[in-house]
Amino acid sequence: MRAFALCLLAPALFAQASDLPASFRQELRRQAGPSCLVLEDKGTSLASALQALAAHDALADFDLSLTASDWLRWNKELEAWARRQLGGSGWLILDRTGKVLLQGKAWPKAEMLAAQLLQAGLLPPLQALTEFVQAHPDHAEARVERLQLLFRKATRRTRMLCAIPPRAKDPNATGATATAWTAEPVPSPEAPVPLDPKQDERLWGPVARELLRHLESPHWGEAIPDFSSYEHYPAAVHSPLMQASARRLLPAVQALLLAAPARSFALWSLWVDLKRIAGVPADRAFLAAMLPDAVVVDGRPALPEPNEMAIQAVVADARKSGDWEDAKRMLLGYWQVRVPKGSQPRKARGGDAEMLKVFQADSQAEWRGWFAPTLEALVRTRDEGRSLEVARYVRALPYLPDATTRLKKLALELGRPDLAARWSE
Amino acid sequence: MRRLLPALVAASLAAPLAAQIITMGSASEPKELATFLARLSTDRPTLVVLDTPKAGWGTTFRALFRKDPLVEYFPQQGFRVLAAGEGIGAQLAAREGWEAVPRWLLIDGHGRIHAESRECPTAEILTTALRDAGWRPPLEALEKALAQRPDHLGFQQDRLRRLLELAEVRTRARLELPDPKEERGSRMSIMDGEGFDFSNQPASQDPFQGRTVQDLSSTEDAALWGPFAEALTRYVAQEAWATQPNGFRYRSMNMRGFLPVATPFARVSPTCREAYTRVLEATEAALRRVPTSAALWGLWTSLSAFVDRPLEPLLASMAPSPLAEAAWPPASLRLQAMREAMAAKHWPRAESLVKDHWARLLELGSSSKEDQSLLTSTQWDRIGSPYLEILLRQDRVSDAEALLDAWERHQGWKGVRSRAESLARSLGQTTLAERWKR
Repeated sequence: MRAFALCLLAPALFAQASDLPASFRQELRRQAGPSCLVLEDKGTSLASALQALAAHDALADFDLSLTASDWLRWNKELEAWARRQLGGSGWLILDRTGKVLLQGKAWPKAEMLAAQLLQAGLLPPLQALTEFVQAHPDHAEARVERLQLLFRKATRRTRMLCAIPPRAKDPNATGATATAWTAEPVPSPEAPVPLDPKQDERLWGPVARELLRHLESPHWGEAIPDFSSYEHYPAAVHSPLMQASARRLLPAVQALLLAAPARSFALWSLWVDLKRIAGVPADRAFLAAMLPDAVVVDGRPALPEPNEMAIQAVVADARKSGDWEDAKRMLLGYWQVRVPKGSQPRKARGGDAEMLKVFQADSQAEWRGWFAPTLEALVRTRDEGRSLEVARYVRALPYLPDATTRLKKLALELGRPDLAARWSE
Repeated sequence: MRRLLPALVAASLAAPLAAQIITMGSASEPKELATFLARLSTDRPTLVVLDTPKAGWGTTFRALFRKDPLVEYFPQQGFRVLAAGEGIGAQLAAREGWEAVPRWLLIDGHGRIHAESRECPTAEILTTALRDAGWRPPLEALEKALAQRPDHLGFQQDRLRRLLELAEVRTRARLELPDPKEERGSRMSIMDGEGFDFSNQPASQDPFQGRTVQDLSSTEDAALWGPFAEALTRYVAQEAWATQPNGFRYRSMNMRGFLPVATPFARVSPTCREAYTRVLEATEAALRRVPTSAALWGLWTSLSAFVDRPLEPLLASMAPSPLAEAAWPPASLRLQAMREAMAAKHWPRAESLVKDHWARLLELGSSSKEDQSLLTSTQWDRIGSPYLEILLRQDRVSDAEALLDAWERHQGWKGVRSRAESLARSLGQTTLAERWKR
């Protein structure tokens, strides 16, 4: 606390830190609000303390997050800068121009931090956006930015209220360089405990209403809200108000997906998020209309392969319900486009070593997101003949050298030791 | 295993067939030929022309595909010209027992010959052969897809692209312009946010080669450009047309498919320019709702030059959200606005637009050794040189000197002095030019 008070007295702090690494300065410009940088030493827990602090009513509108701290992991120049600035462990809050607004060794109380942020001239982003949207009701971009901030605020508060632990880092995540398969989604609770109506209205009422307002306005597809950040998922499943909004809006999102380019990542991401919040299985007729052969021209399927996120969501449905028909259709639709009939993976050539390294790094995600679910879907629907074909292809992939071991393990997990041998033939 | 495949139907109007079967997969087959055959599409036949220097069939066939009725098949994907007496052409002829004379055939990846002749075909004969072999013009396939999903923006965009290609190739034929060289890459190269220039599109070859051109007559214009213009105008009249494309948060380089409709032929087509105006109006309306959309700005920039639509009044009519205010207008647009201000001789305004860009460039250039490559001759021409000119136009010689010094201090591209000297000379500042020469 003493260090904090001292810092506030030092006017030099409010000047722009001229030696701040340029790459980091660029990153700050991209943030919605101020950025917090935390430098931990052994025994400190500044990062976890910030989670509670940021959810506090006094600070919730400032949208404080630790985005910037991720940079410390690989940006040694930044770490050295922060260490110089702090003289050891501690925290810094910088604005989007790179100006150090505040810094300290331990966090002050929420009310005090909020007062100091205001004193440093920082208007809470949520307040700035609310005023702006009132003056510009047709400004879809600002409306979505505000909606996302409201969503984050409600998520933080719900997390604290329901004691939802922060998302652990995916041990299999490798940096997703070449593959479209995302990390395993955070599992939703089997039966999320609903917030009581009063709490729900206080925490989620404004979000649910804004979501409806935006997705029921014309041209909403020009600015698609993004709720997919792992940090604040899946707290909304505890909100009956959000569930109701999500259920009401899913048909609109599906209608746009049917019309808009079928591989719009942002739109699919929204579909997956709303579906999870709504807690409903995917609409079968909608899925069928998105399969490559839903439109056939001159005997050939005319639509692209199904979206990877959507496949993962439908596979998750199948694991829950035991009904694998939709998942199988989608996975085979993906297969149909990605692996044209009879084609085999190209054999590795000299000079491919670097490329193979990249693919190997992503092969875990591809195995988990694509190959393993395809085989599982085929086994669960008694389509073993086709599973042999898939296994043969997987074994021939130059970037999956341990394919045989993986296949055996999967067959055993599925309770089919007989296939363990056949998949290796 | 040597597979023999049954012959299929020959084109009814093609000359008598010498052979109907190409044998595939022989172990003794020359490697190049085997690879060639293996790569042919199995979905539909490929048109293979065995040519000789004397016959010049390659040129003849290419010309056929640029005129009606075969233009419907342009750009021809499955079209290979081989030298009859050399390489794969010779290997194919030897294996089939053919003489080294010009010949054309329609052959698929299974080795099936659908038509074959030693006579140079007329456009009608070739069209019939293609149709009988199951080929359909791409537009026909798109119409079929649209009949099943009329609202599908992806199919509509493909159709637009196709109509544009047809209008371009027909206009080129009408104006007797030479064929373009093979162009690689997509029509659009849109990058977002900082440091990239929306106007820096891949330079499409100027079909007019710098000549002054006149508008097409209204009848010709309507015939050549009417279908494209009508489809384009209809496209942007739909509520969902500007749905945020791929790439906002993922695969951010991939804006492919977001309405790549700019064409240099708009210079001769009032109909096309009129459609561009409609697109620009719709784009500007959308930009007021989502002012930082890289895709929309890319579209606006690619079309605005054809209809002389300035950027500054548009920017003045827009309100960036509080979160975008600090970086408004986007860096890449600032450069375009700077060019406009320079053209209008508004030097202080031009300076205010380039100043931050310059500072950021130097900042990045000094941040690490790796990043120093950013201070290249291209960046000098885009940012440094206009800034230098803006300063000189305001007679701020010492600031201009400081600019050059800063560039050199940050170890930028070494040729900067001679470029600055030429600039000073072109502005009539000979004393300064002499000083910079030294």
